[in-house]
Formats: sequence, structure tokens, C-alpha cells
Amino acid sequence: MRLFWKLFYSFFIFILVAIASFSYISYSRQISSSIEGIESKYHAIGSLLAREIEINYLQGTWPFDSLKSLKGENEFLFWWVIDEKGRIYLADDEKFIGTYARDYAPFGTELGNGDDMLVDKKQQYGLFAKKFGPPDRKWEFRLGFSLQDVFKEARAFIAIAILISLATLAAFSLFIFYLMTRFLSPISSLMKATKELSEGRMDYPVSLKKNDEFSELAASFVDMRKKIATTSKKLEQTNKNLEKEVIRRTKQLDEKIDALERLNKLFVGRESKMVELKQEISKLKEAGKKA
Amino acid sequence: MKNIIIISLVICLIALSGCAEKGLELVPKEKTGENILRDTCTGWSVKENPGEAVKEAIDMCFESKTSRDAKFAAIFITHGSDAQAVILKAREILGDNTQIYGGTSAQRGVITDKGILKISDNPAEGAEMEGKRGIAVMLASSDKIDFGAGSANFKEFSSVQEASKSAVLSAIENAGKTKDEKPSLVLITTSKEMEEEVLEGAESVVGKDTVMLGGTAGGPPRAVFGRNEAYEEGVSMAVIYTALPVGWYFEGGFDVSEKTSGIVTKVDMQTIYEIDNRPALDVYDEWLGGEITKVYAQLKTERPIRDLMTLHPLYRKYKDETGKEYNLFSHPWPKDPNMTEKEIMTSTKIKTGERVYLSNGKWETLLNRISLLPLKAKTEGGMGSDSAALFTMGYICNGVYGAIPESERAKMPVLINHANNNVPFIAPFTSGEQGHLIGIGNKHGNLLTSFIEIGDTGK
Repeated sequence: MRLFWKLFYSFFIFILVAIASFSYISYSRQISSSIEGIESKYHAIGSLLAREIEINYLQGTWPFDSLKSLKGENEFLFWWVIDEKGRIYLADDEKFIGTYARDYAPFGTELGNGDDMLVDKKQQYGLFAKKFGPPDRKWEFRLGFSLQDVFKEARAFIAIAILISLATLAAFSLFIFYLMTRFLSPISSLMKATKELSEGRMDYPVSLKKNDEFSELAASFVDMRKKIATTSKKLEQTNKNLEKEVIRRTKQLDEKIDALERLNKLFVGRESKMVELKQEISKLKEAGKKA
Repeated sequence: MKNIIIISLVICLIALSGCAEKGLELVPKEKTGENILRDTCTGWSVKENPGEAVKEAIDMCFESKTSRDAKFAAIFITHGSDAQAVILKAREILGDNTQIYGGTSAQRGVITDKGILKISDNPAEGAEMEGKRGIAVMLASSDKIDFGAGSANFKEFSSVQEASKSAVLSAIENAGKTKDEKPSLVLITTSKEMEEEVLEGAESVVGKDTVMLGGTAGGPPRAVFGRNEAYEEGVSMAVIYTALPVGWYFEGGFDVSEKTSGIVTKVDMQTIYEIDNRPALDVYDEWLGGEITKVYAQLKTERPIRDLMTLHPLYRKYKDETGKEYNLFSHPWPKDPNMTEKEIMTSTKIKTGERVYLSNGKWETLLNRISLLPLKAKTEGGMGSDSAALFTMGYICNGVYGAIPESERAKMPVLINHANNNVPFIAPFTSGEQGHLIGIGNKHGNLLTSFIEIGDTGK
């Protein structure tokens, strides 16, 4: 199963990198695109409403119907009309009326730079603000919208991607496991038989049931094992014969050696005698000379 | 390797859950405001025990009043409250010298500068001004205004006109005046179906030119306050004498086009049988392009029909000597909820031969117009828009209030306060409204609103 795990780990890493890359790219694109769309939408809505409010303000009235319809928008958070003292004069939720906008950071803080739109991706909200009224009594219309759904959808997308990937990984693992089981089983069997063969056992059973390359390999293995067994027997016999021959020849040699030794002894005796005779001769010669 | 896998899975889980929703919470803060002591004040209570409710409302009122005395008390209770117990307790707390005026407000509640007192069988948890019963009180004291209250039980008089006459005379006397001294203003709270007669009786004493403003008590059951008792069929009146500027405004918030009209050819009291000699409801439905038939065919229920007709009231025109025209509205609704009988009910007595016109309105217009009432009243009284009156009060038709979506109603007291410079005010929801048409006299109509501004404190 080591091969299985090697394949599994490789595929897992591949899937992980693929998910991470794909998710990051898709997540970023989806969020950017959605936020742009929402920002655009609320800018348009806010601008229209601000204009309507300004016109009505001059008549001392308010476009309540248009303001009420904001609640039907998915991302809608709140709308406020803030008076020149920073107090919330009108709101979609009457509980905020009479309180100060500055108490609801970041929604009540100045946008700055003369901008009328602010989008904060980190805190997942957007804000449209537009001042209206006479220069000395500037009121403000604020419209807040949430970006949570955008991030929620993106997260859902990633969750689905992860789940699909995990499912793919699981399916692949099962498939690989099945393949491994199907292919490794005869190999394991052959490995076992080889090991048994190495320890001298020639009768370990090897399955020859299927008609595929593995069964051919198994058949070859069995054939090889038979030949090894036959050769082994022949060798054994040859060894036995050799042993006998060796014994016989050794005996022969021993006999010859004995004979040679006896001869040698004889020759050695004669040799000694010869030496002695030579010495005697020498002595006689010497004596002769002296004489 | 296994460790890498485990770590990777953990990272995935963290990535999914760690990006958990981190939305910003928007929680309303406590409202702060200075408590300015004035000569008028308002209070409310939703306690179910009437005695405790009266005490709580009056105590709340005195917290923002310059002194613990009251020359005048306007008390409005939601119908179904124990009116008798309320008036007795109020009399006990305020004493015999306080002129008490008022009665039942229509079911939806009462509106004051502090908000809308809402009545519900299942009050929302934590909702301060919501309960099963409600009482709102306005107390006023000023050495520049003389108040007088009077009342009459219709059953004790030969006619409603006589009862009304008695009530206004009693009020004048309680104000320390004589009947020759015409009041600056007459406030009326009367029971239903007798409004025209009440006006007639009062006008017989103070004249057609005296401004009368008021409303029909909400209910059933309805009640108006007498000196020490409550009447189911009667009238409660208050007269105001002052040299201070008096401003008032009486109007309907509907668009009038004069395009569609007809002559009432058969009527009985407040029931119109025929317009142009044809069944009234059929004619009205034609004016609306068959909307009533369509809506009823779809929904098979009366409520949407009533709502539709509320935004399309009938009106009559009145012209004064100078040719200036006034429109007096009547709130129509089908007599038969099943639309089989074709009569139209109103809360006014339209006479045979009178021409009725069709008007139309939107809730936004109604809300905006209500919000401008104090400004218009101040303008009529010659007061600046930034002025803070000494005494303010209003009457708002229950039908108009009902036409405004519930989610938007809370804006009403905010807008009125802004136009009213946060001066305490009280306004019951009425089942009919009485008001003055300059040059013509005092009339009773429906779907109308009025507001009173007296004096200029300069605050």
C-alpha cells in the first residue's frame, strides 16, 4: 500500500494547491465584481433619493414612499436624515431618531475628501452620504448597505469548492485503492512467493486464475520455480556424484601417495646409502692420496 | 505527510468558519435631551388599573411642568378603558378647580410629543408606550389663558342641540366668563352620529364665526368626560379665552381634482343609498375604474376595500362669501361587507341634493401634511415657524392614521415635534372631525386633521 499512499499524497497536494489557487482567484474576482455592482447600485439609489429629498426639503416634505421602498433592497442597512447639529432627524427605524449620528461609528463618521461613497471591505459595509439644504444649515442624507451577503456567498462558493474537492479526493482515493487492491494483490502474492522461494520453499501457492499479464507473470514465475526446482535437484544429484567421485579419487590418490611414500622411503634409504658410500669413497680417496 | 494533510484540513475548516459573519451591529443609543420646564406638559401610562394609570400619567406630566398645578387637563383614553374610574381619579388628583376635558381616542392610541401610545392585545416586549390600555394627559397652566370645561349627557336633554348648548354655556361659566364673551376657541369631543347637531347647538351660543375644533370620540365603546363622570352619549367641551396669538389649521390631506362627482339622490342619516339615482357603491366603483369589484373578486374580504376607499374619500365643497372654496371630506366604506347591498356609509350626514366629489390620496402625502400642521397653524396665527407656542393640541382622524403604514407611523410625532419646536402636545385619534371653515361656519367631516397653536413663549 506504499504505492497507494504515494499516489494519494501526490494527488492530495495537487488538489490542495489547485483548490487554493482557484479559490483565491475566484473569491477575489467574485467579491470585487459583486462589491462593484452593489456600490454602483447604491450610488445610483442614494443620488436619486438625495435629489428627491432635497427637492422635498424645500417644500417641507419628505419622500417617505421612496425611502420606505429602500427596505426592500437586499443589502439595505439603514437610512438617516441628519440635521445640522448631527442629530438623526429621520430614520428607517424610529429608535435612532433623536440620537446623534456620531455615536454610531463608523456609520456616523465623516467620509472626508468630499466623497459621497465609502466602501469598507474589512467591516463589510458601504455608506452613501450627501449633504443638502442651505449653506448655513447643512443637513445630510446617509444610506448604509451591507456587504455581508457578498462575503457569505463567496464563502459558500469556497465551501462548495472545498467539499467538491474533498469528494473528488475521496473518490479518487477509493478508485486508487480499488486499483491498488486489484493490481497489488497478485504482485503481493508474487512477492510473498519470491520470498518463500528465497528461503527455499518451492510450494507456496500462486494464483493463476485471471487471464491477464499478472497471471502470465505468475505462470512464468511458477515455470521458473519448477525449472529452479529441477535444476536444483540435478545440482543436488551432481553434487552427490561428485562427492562419490571425489571420495574414489581421493582413495586412489591416497593409495598412490602411500606407494610413493614407500618408494620415497626406499629411495631415501638408498639415497642415504649412496651418500654414505660417497662419503666413504671420498674418505677412501683421501686416504688413498695420503697414502 | 499525514501531518500535512491534517494541517491542511484544519486550515480549510478555519478558513470556512473563521471568516464567520462579522457584520457591524447597529444598536440605537439612549436618547438624551434636556428637560425644559414649561407651562404645559404631557404624560402617559399603559397600566391596566385605571387609577394607577391616571396617577402615573399625571406624575410624568408634572416632572416637566413649572408647577404642580393645572388649570386645564386634556385627557384621552383608549376606548375600552374604564372612563368612569379615570375621570374620578383625575378629579381626585387634580382637584375641583382643574378644567377637565376629553374622552376616548380611537383604538390605535393617542399621540403626544413623547410618542404614540399604542394599544395591542399582545404588546411587543420592551415597547415602552405599548399596552392593552392607554391614557395620555396634557396639563396646562397659564395666567394668559383662561380655560373652561363643560359637558352634557345627551340622555338628559330633549335634543342634542340643547345638550350642546348646555355644555358650552357651562364651559363659559367655568372659565369665569359670560356668554357674551366669545371664546377664542372651542374644543369638542363628542360621541358619534350627533356631530352636526352638537355644532349647531354650540353655534347657537357662540356664533358661527367662533372657531370650533374637535373630534368624535373613538370606540365603541365611546365615552366623553363630564365633570365627575363619563358619558357614553354626550359631549365634552372646552373653551379658551386668551389675548395671545391663536393659530389653527383644519384640513384633509387628499388631492382634489373635481373630475369625478355626482349628486346624492337618496340618503338616510349617514348612509348614502344612491348617487345620480343609481346604487351608490356601483357609482363609486365606476369612479375607481372597477377597482372595488376587482379587489373583492381576488381577496373576498372587506378590509382591503375599506383601505382603498380610505384613500379615495368623498368630499363636498363649500364656498364662503369671498368665493374661497373649502373641501369637507367624508370617509366612505361599504355598508355590506359582502358587497351585495350597494349602500355607502360615511361618518357624516350628507344631504340629498348635495354634490359629492371623488378625491384621492397617498399615505406619504397624508404623513407629510400632518407633519406640517403645526407650521400651518403658526402661520395662520401670525407666529414665526421657529416660535414655541404655550399651548398646542391636535386632532387626527383614525382613518388617516390607519392609512399610513405601521412602519412609518412613528415618524409622525417626530415630525410634529420638529414643526412644533418640541412643545408638548396631545392629539387623539378621532372617528370624525369638527372644524371651522372661515366664512362658512363649523362643519363635521372625516379623514381630517387639525392643530392649534396658542401663544409664543419665545423658547
